[in-house]
Amino acid sequence: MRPDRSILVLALPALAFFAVFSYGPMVGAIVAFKDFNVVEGIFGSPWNGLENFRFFFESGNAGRVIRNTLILNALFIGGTITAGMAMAVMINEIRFRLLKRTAQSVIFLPYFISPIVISVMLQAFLSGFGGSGGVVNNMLGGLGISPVSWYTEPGAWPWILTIVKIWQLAGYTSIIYLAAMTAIPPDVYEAAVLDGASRWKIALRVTVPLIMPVTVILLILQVGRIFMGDFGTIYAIIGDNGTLFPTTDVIDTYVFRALRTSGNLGMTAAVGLFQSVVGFILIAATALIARRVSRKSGGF
Amino acid sequence: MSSQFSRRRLLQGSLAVGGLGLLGAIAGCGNGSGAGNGTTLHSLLPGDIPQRWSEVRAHVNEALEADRGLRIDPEFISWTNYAEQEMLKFTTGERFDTALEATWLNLQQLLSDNALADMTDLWDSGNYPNLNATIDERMVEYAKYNGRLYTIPLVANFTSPPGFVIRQDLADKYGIGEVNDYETLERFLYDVKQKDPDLIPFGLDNGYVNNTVIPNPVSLFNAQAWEEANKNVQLLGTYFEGDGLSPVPFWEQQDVLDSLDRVRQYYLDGILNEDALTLDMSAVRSLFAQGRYASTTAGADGLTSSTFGPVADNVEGAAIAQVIPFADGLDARMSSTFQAANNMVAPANTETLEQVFEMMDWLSIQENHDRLSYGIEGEDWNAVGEHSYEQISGYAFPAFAMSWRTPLERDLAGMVDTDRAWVAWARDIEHFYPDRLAGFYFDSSSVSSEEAQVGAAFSEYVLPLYAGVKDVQSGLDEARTALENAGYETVVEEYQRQALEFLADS
Repeated sequence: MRPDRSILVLALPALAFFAVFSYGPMVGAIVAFKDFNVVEGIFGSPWNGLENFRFFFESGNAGRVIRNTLILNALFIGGTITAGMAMAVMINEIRFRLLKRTAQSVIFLPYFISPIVISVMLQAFLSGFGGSGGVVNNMLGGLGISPVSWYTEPGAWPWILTIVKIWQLAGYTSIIYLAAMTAIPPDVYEAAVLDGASRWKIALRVTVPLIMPVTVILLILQVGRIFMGDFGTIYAIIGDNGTLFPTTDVIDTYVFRALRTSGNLGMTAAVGLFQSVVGFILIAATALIARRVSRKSGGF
Repeated sequence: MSSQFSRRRLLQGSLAVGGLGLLGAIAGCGNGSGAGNGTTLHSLLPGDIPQRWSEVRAHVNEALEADRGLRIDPEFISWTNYAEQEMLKFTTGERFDTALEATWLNLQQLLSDNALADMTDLWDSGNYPNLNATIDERMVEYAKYNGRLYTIPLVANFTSPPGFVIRQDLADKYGIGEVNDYETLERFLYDVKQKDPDLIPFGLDNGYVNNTVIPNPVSLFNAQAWEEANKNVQLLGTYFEGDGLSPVPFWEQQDVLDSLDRVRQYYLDGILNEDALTLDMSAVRSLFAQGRYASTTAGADGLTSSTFGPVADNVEGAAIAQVIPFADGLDARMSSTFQAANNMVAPANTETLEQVFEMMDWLSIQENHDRLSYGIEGEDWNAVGEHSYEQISGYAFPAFAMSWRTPLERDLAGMVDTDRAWVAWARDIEHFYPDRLAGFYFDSSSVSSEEAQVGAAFSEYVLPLYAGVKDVQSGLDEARTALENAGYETVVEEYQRQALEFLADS
């Protein structure tokens, strides 16, 4: 039986969208290999080999910012997926429908809060007026602990930023998990109850394994962007506070800071290309590993 | 069969509609504003659309069209995106007639890439007498690049050196009176700390951290610069000394080292806020207005009274004063590069440069200048005397990007006396004399990698020192190593080479 080819027409808008907005602009990546001139434009500017890559890789900071990017993203991914899954499991256990829906809405809210607002809230929590107060320091004072000048202590910041990301994204992630949970057949739960499993055991042994494919998809999607720092949040919170750069400076913030005065498109494109190529390799590798693991375990 | 046919028809119909929509959208991306057609001028301006803009624009266009046959239709671009958006429009060749440009935006790159229209002949033509008369010829001379004029400098004050706004009511309460020298300023700061411990004596924000110790030619906490405002430190805190322009890095300049120690001590003594590196200007201003800071940064730009005066609404008896760091007070003269902070430019391929000059000439007449800068008289503002005005609506046009003209600027009614006096000082070009590198533009394209790396190292290692956050000795060692590893010497040597060439040619 011949497939109805007219159905392929339905894919055309999506193909056109990606061709125009995703694949077409990739041609512009050649500016990474050009000595860009405003008048001559991307195609008319002279080639300059790998010169634009020299700025980043010879800076002496490449190792540090790549390490920070990977560490922070690993913490963000691990933190949001774990917290999102945990929240979803907990919300799934709520039996009152109204309470369940309210909880879903409330935990989703931080996703919509702008990084600038988050930055202001964080300042109120960590430094307060003048930089040496804040809610956290007041609480520490109550416990007899000396206040900490958080904005000059780089060691704490990977954890502070991770907490911020979890607060911001765990609710959003949990909604994805909750959607996946609705697809779990009720008879699986009924069988577990008949076998005498407790609610805790059902959550751990039934719900979590059955939503693992979603975890793999989320992981693949996020690993593909592991070389892209979360510029919006990190820059809004850290800004130009150099004392925190040892642990918070990621590729995007470094490039922004270095190039905002010169606005050199070639160097910016070179770093962007590097991030995309590594991201592509990582996403392909993750997908491959995930497929092999799932074949062995008979899962995803 | 029939159902399949109808589905095909449906899909074909959808595609046709989609295709037409796409064509329509593409057509819509074209030059629909009429920019460049000789009658409507399209300018790129930073910021949000001003309140009541449509009324004021209609009011301006009515007169402009009647007088010169032109209209204006600016595009307002958010401040956060302006530099990138403007560069993108230059790069893609999008049609526009003028843009705000500056050394703090993309001016350097646009000049070295020959992307700007040469305005020399039109400026010299004598056809635009109002424009010629309202922009000082010296500003124009020093704005030239390789002897040609590519920018129209927009100037309200010839410069507005960074200074202070202080709570004068507190200074009076402590028996200090007017603050006219550094010793008195320091006494004021420590008196606040001692006698009003709930206040922070000075609120510093991340934008002004650069201005604490490096004289250019004055800086906030450089006591030596208060006495002698003639040392212009140019690049990355480097002073170019003597006829050979020998570079002296900031870690070898005694006045800067003394100032770094002073700022560090202020930080440790609680004179400065500890969060200067993360706090932005609007937050500091808001806290000043709430009466939480006793002083902060304020230049002689004519905005001190309107920006900081509202503290009187929140704190009973509060009064402010403008302090500019010159021991000679209003008799001070300072060296200047005469490089306008804001300029109007046109793209090199423009076909409307004459019309742009017509519009700029028209805006150089008091009545027209007031129309655009302050809005509709009687609805947005009222004249107070000959040179002042009171604002009666929320209209706020970015005049610095189009209509600033020193002789035409009005003061806001109700300015405090010290603010008014310093604004008058800053508008008199006789208070400034040219720095020997006035008119010099550094083309960093041959050292762009090193410049970018040094810039990143500078904000990481040097700015915390300027804010007093780091120990000076260990911080200087770190900063020096980081800057040298990033290519500091290469950038400075290139600057020195070009500057020497400039001096030899001038």
